[in-house]
Parts: sequence; C-alpha cells; structure tokens
Amino acid sequence: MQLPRTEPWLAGSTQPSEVEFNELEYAFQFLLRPPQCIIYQTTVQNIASGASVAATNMTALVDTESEVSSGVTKMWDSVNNNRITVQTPGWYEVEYATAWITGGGGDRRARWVSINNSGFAGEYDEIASAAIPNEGRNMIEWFFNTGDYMTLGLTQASGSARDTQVTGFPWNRRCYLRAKWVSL
Amino acid sequence: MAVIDPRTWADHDILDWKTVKTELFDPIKFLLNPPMVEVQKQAAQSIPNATFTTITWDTVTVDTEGMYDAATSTSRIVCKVAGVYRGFWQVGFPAGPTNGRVIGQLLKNGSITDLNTRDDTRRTGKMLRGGMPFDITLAVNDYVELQAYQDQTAPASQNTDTSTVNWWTMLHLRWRKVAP
Repeated sequence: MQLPRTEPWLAGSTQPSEVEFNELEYAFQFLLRPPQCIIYQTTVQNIASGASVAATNMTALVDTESEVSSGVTKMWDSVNNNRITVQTPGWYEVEYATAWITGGGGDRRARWVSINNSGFAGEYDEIASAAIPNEGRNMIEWFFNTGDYMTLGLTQASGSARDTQVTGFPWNRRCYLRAKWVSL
Repeated sequence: MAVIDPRTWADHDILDWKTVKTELFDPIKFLLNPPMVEVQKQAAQSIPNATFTTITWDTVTVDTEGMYDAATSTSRIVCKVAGVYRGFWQVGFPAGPTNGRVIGQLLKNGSITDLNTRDDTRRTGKMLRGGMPFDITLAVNDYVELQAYQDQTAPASQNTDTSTVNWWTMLHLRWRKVAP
C-alpha cells in the first residue's frame, strides 16, 4: 500500500487543488484501514520435543493490503502460507499466540516471531500445566521494510512430541499471528 | 510535538494552503508518526536475590521526542506528549541455578502499576524471556521504569546473548490516542 504524503508540497499555491484534497482523502483512508494481516493455523502440527520450527498451514483471516490501493501485492499468499510479508514499510504491532493440546507434565513451551527466518523479535516462554491446554499470547512492535517477512516460531521441550490445537476460533485457541501497521 | 487539536470549521473559512497544512496535514502527520520510544538493555545487569531492581538502559532504538535522556536518568522514560500509550516490555533471564520466581513490573512515577506485572516460575536450567503488552495513560513529565526480580538464591544476570537478536530486556512505548 502506498504511504500517504505528509510534506507541505502545497507551498507556493494560493489554493489547495484537487490533487491535495485527494492526497488528504487517501491519508484518511490509509489511517482508517492501515495495512493489517491476520493468519491462523488450520491443521494440527506435531512438533518433536526440542525442535524449533515455524508454524505451518496458516491461512489469512484478514489482509487489508489491497483494500485502499488496488492492484497491490497482499501480505499473505497460499504458496508461502506460513508467513506474513510486509508490503508497506513501517512499525508494526505484532500479536502472536500459540495453542497446544493438553498433556505432558511440566512442559516448557515457547513462541516467538521470526524475522526473515534469521533472528527474532520478542519471545514468550511458559511452563505449561499438564492438565490445561496451554494458550498464551504476547505483542511486540517492530520496524519492517518492504519484503521483510515474519513467521510464528514454536518449540517445546516436554520430552515427547506435542500437537498444536486448532479447535477454537481463528483468533482463540489456535496458533495465530497478526501484524498491523502503526507508524512511519 | 503537540497533541492533535482538531479545528472546528466555520462557514466561509478560507481554505488556503497554509490552513490546510496546519489544520489537516499536520494532524495527519502526527497520526502517521506518533511519539514513540524504545530502549534496550544489551549489557548484563545483575539482579540481586529477592530484590526488585530497576533496569538501567544502554541502547535507544527509536526516540521521536527525546523521552530518554541518559544525562538525566538512565532508567526513566519521560512523557513529552500526553496521551494513552500502547507499549510492551520484555525481560530476559538466562538459565537459572535453581527453581524460583522471576517477576517483571512496570512503574509509573515510581509506583507499581498492577496491570503491568508478570510473575512467573523459572526452572533449573531454563531460560525465561517474557513480557507484557499494556496501555498506560501518561501526562507530560510522567515517567515509567521497568523492574526485574528473581529469587533463585544466587544473583542472576539478564540475558545478554547478542547472537540471538533481541531477546534481551527492553521497553517500548507508542502514543496511541488522546487521554480520556
């Protein structure tokens, strides 16, 4: 999505023109519907103890990239379905969550946001209960350039393989990743 | 930067370019680029046993308003533009020697903000990197700080492994809306 223009290019003209008013209208449209993408997991993923992997089989619930500007590339596609790819540079509020099925005693489970498959921003660790499905979420804000992508990382160290949970709403009791543009 | 104060328009107001810039584009510019600050702790800081310890920051990632001033205080983020701020903090501890508790908590003007505390258990040999998102209302000159706590008998340093990017201790604030 094209970023709104903010510099006073009006200087020198006595009256704002249609161009400037269209720029204003676009800026409001952008702020009302900033780039945002929400993806969630659709299929159970079995993860070996000690493995660190990206959440797979994600699908998009929301992808606003083409709502304001037509003909632009979306943030999610079915080919690389485990990632959100930034099309509009800026700071993004990123919310991320995982959901695991019940089982195992004293499991240690974590989730994080991986940037371009190298390095990561933010991590949330938790020691899970054996009797209660382990769900949790956290949020970070991070600057992304166009083409940067993020994935949801998963790991657990319970001593045996564990399944993720996909029984709830897309944004609840599932692995979930949401990125929303918040600032230049 | 001043908080947005939208103009109430009257009939026959003249829409010259200066008025349009001041009353329309500047507020939009504010909304597109609101006040924001992020500080990190990249060097180790020892957290004594069973003692809430204020984090001192050593790295500034972004600071649009000069909210962090190391010459005045290395721990405080001072509000320059009033409003409700969206933020998150994160505390990273390395593997501990024994089981115990770890706590992170946010302070506003030196007092605990109950909604911004995370109390967790750390097991022997397990790292802990946790944090919490929050909204907080700040007036000009209000300040926020982050404290860490652990009770594993021996002092534990925060994680400073820079080979794994950014799971050290940090605090991030962004202006979100006008205070109610």
